[in-house]
Amino acid sequence: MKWFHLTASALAFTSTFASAQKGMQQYYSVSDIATPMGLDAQVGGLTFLPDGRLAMCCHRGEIYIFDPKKETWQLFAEGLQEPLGLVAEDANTLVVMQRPELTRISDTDGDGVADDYQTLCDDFGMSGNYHEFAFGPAIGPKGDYWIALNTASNGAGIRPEVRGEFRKLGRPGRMYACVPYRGWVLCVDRETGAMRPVASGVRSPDGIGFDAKGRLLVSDNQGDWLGTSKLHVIQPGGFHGHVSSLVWRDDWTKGDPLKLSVRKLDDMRVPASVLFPHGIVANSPTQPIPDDTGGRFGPFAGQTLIGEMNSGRILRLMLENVGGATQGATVTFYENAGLKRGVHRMVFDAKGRLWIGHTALSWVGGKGLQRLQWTGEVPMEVLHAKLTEKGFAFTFTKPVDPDTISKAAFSCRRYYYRYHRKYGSDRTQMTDVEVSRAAIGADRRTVTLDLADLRPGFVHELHIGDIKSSHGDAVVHRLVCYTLNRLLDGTVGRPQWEPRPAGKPTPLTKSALQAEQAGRIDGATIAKSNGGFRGTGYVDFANATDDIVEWTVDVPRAGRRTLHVRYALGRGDRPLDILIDGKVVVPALSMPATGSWTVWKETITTLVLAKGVHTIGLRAAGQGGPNVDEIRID
Amino acid sequence: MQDHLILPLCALAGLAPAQSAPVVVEMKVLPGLQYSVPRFAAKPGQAVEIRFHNNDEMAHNLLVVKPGRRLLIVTAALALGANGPAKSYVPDSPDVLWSLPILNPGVKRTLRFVAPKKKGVYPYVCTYPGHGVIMFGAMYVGRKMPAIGKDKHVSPIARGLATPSAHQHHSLHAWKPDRRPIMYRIFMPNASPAAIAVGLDSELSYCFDAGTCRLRYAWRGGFVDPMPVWKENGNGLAKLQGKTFYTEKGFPFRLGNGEQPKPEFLGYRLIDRLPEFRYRLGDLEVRELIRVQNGNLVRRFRFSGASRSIRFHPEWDGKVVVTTAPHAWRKGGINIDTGNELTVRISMRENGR
Repeated sequence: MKWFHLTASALAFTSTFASAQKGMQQYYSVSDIATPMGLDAQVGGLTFLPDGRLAMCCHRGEIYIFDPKKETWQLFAEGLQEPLGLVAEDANTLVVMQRPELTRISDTDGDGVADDYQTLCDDFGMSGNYHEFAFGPAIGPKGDYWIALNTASNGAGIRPEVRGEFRKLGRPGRMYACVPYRGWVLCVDRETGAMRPVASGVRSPDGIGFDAKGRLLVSDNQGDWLGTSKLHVIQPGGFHGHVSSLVWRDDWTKGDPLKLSVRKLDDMRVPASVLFPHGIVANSPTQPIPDDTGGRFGPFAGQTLIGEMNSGRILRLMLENVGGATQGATVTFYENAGLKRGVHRMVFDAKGRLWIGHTALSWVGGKGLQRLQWTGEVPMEVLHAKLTEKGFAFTFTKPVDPDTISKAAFSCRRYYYRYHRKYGSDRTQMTDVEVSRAAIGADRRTVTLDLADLRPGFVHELHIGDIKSSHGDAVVHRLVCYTLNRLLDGTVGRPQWEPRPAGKPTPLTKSALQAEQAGRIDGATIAKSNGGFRGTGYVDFANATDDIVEWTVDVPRAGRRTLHVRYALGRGDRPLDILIDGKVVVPALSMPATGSWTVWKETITTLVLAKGVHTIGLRAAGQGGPNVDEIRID
Repeated sequence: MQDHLILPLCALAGLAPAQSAPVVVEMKVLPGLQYSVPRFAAKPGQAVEIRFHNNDEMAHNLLVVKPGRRLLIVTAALALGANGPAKSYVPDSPDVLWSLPILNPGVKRTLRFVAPKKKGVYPYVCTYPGHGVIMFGAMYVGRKMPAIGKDKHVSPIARGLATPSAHQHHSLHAWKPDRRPIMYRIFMPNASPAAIAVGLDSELSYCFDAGTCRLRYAWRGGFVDPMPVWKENGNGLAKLQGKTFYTEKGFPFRLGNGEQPKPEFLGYRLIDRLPEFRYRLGDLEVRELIRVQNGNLVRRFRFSGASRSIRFHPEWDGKVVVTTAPHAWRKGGINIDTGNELTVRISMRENGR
């Protein structure tokens, strides 16, 4: 069969980016590879065939094959629906993940054009929501195909007719999972196509791949339940944090998962192995790819690179096993200097060159195909970042000039991202941490940093100053972000749930206490968009449960008091638990609608207070709470 | 050293008298780093005028170089490194005969010179970093041009462009709405999200649903406008470019006991570029191929697995006449033997049935 068999020559051309500065382009060179003219070259997948040709699938459903020797492109297949990944089984057979299914595509008559399209697995639902992308496949250690399914977005609805079972419980939420296995990682048998659900709780798992140690890495994008973008190391049976997918667990009996307490959900979830601080490191991480070139791509063999779609940047991961769990650091590997935005799919060729496909899909990104090649010169970089008892140890790619090492040459700050239903999270409890000691090891490559205070549960941003190699080369990439889930002794930190000082006690008088000035505001945020409030704002509860606003008061004499809560609520009733010193004294105090978000009214209840310093808290009791302006106790 | 000339725009009038009227080349830039004129001819000593309009989104220059020296000059331009921009990426070399400096997008400049007396093929090339390997053409001075498809002095893309069909479609991109047959998996109206649009000929198209393993509807007119889906991230439906004349209301087969089977989609095979869809009903595999014959839709069903009797009973909306073979169609459906093929012809009434 011969149909639509076009070829055209296209040449790779190298761009040299002249620059006075010594950047990464001294160590790696970028080439642009011309793609077929007129093609919307938003690349969904790249893979090499056993004969050295490159297969590439694109946004509008084409698969093209590039012959690097002849520099020709040939159309292999078309008509696919948003293919976002492919692997080769042999020179004539590809397995492609497209929106509706995992498909084995073969050229059975050897004319170079596919003619057989076998549905390997379509045992998952489609609501018709545009955000239900399908990612993969990654080839597992036993040859199976691992895929990951995006959740739907409340930016759009669902179609009147869906594929698969519809579960209403999975429909609420910003990103949702109303048809099977949205937000899941699945394993598909290579021979039979039989599908096995593996893990839940991913939101937008664009990147899926096994690393050199056989760990299944999945990248995920900042959003609801993700304070910032992250890297999961997938645990079979694990729940990785994005909530709606829970309704597709076999054993799920707990109703609407969005109504569970955030604390309980947090207890259930597998924490991310690496967090990518938003706006600093990555906004939209894509494919992880292990450097399996055995050194042909430079000094980072065995480590994993990961793309970042919003900028022209590729990151590098430095993972380690601490107490049985994977955690670690990320550092920029390459950015800009010829590398276009939209880094999406990557694959190494037999010569150890990295081919990079770009995409945007209406978000910030780019298009086209590029290639990154090591020049043979080793950059001065952090090769490994490892946790120590008191801090971190950096091993550099080259011997370090000891004269450039001092504790002043490093700085550190830490923060954490809240786990909640809201989209994204601020960097919370951001604190500078003193570097108390910096020492160079006998190998001249390792620098040990002790911190005055090493706290688990925080991202540690480690900044490297004017460290030089023994030949005077400065460190190229100087920000290392280590996600410190646990210390070497196994101590786990969860700052979101750890009691914190609730602020200085306020003497209890008859004047009002503003919510926005409360000593502790957890989960809820301060807002000012609805008028009529007093003070400088009000507190807006973000989650159905657990969000709390708490004041610390100094009570001059014991007695029975009246608590006035000034609030606004458009519709319904959103009760609040009233707590004294962390204990519920009035469960689910009714907070009926005031009729409008700009109409502020009071609800009252009675409290019995002892003399002395106490905390008074209002906590969301299942419905998220109204907007709270102030309280008054008299 | 300085025997090459970078000629200012107006300095040419008095140069060597032209033997004949000047050769005027209107040069622009095509997508894919291509000069719009891949080659041109001049007589030895003839005046040449290249009117270069950089209508591209990128900056480009244009150097005319000595025969066979293009790659050397491209390499020399790259080697300029940080000095490149100041020199407009024009290396100091006797091999560079004439040049236009880097022109930013939108800028027009004209290069005037007199063609060399020495016969030969003189390349012209953009030496902006990265462009020179693909963005070039050839000035034939006193030499015969080969067929452009075989001309190694023009870029490979220009060679491809020279084929007649490519003249109409400057594009390798598969999406050509007029091509038939044509097939896309895409979000379609009135189907499950796993829909497939197939354009059979210039008139007839249909929608098959991989979610429910059945023909959903057929329409007459153009194919679909996919852009509502493709322009961004898939949030939209393809738009039918025609009028639906047949809508099938459910799965067309019933098993022996009248039971509505739950089909499982298996994929498709392209036969003469037409998809033959495959799905499983229990232990029976069904293949359905839809084509056009005499302006009618003809569905061919083939079965594999144990031969037995099943019932074919489609329900539809539309002003059509349905005929079947080998068993004649009867209202209320027919029993068929899966040992044979089943042919179903759907004719529009206005087609004269």
